[in-house]
Amino acid sequence: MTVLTERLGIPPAYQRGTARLMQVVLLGIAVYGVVRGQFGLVVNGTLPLLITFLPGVLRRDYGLPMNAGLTLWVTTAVFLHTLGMIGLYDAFGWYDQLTHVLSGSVVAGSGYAVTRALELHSDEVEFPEEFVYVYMFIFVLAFGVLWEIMEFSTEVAARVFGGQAYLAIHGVRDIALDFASNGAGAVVVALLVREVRTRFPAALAREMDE
Amino acid sequence: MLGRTRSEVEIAVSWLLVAALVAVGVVGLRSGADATTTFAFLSALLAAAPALLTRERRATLPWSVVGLAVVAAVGQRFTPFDVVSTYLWVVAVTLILVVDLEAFTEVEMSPRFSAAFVATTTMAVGAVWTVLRWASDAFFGTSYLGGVDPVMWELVGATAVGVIVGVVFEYGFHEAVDEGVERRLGGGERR
Repeated sequence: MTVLTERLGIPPAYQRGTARLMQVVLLGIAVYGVVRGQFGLVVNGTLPLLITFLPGVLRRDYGLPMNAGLTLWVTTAVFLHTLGMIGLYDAFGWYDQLTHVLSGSVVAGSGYAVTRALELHSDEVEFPEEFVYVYMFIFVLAFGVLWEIMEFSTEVAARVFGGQAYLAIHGVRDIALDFASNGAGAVVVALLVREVRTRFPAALAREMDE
Repeated sequence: MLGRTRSEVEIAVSWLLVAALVAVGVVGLRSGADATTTFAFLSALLAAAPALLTRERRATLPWSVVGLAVVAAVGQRFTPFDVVSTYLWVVAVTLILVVDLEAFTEVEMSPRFSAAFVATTTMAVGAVWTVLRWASDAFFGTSYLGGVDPVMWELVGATAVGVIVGVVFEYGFHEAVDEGVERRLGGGERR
């Protein structure tokens, strides 16, 4: 994510500011939901808002290197999802795929970080570089399945206990396209990481050491 | 559990199980080749790979892992529990793949990671399989996918089978699998 700062010349302060702005909007959506008594809006404002604090918590509590760009990346992914929930998913057919490519890329990034960290810190585990790229793809698809199961379970719960599902599945087409977009996001990140690692091996090693 | 010394009997059993996988494939060929047939031959090939690549008859996989693949293959082909069996089969093949990877590449996995690897791979196969069938339904007029409910229950089942079998096998057999591979391939053969 140093790409944003070093290559595009966007100062970290602007990146942080943009992320902060999105958090404010998410909070606004949640508050609006509480005021209007729309539980769905509360859930879709609060949960993503909590996720946006994750990079900060990981940096503070676990000392993991999380810079402004990374926070912005995660925040953008959940922010676009929430905008989708309050209308854009229904308004544009392609919007769902956009958010899934983005969230797929976030999950792929986390998958890469986790497998890399595992290999660096554990003697029992060892992966060649190529294996990690393949595993990122597997990780993202599996995460997508977990996500759909979560959506499905809210639907089943709604059927059993009555009420309305807060994360709806719109059909088989939706499921298949979600998986495909997640996978596309994973491939994009795998190619990017590979490119960066072969071009700037020193920079990445530095970032890992920080 | 697998004993520390692997007898000739165990090696023979392992080969018989590979033969059973080939047999399921051959039965499939007689009634027109399909995905199951291909998968049967593929799993037999992966199970025999250590022996074929090292030219060492004794380099068989643990019979428990190959046995799981046979149970799943037979269940898929001949019983009504074909969906669960399919994913059990995917799990079995992933386990075989873990052993092959550890034997022939620099990949090394802890029991915890290989359990996670087996579970996530099974889930990922479920996702890919769903996308492929949907694409076929959408563009070639087939009707593999019934609706949201059957698809989702299938994915729930795949996840459950992957997690349960992954954890049970890795914690029960990982060391035995590791030892077996190390010993039989011999220091020099193992790359």
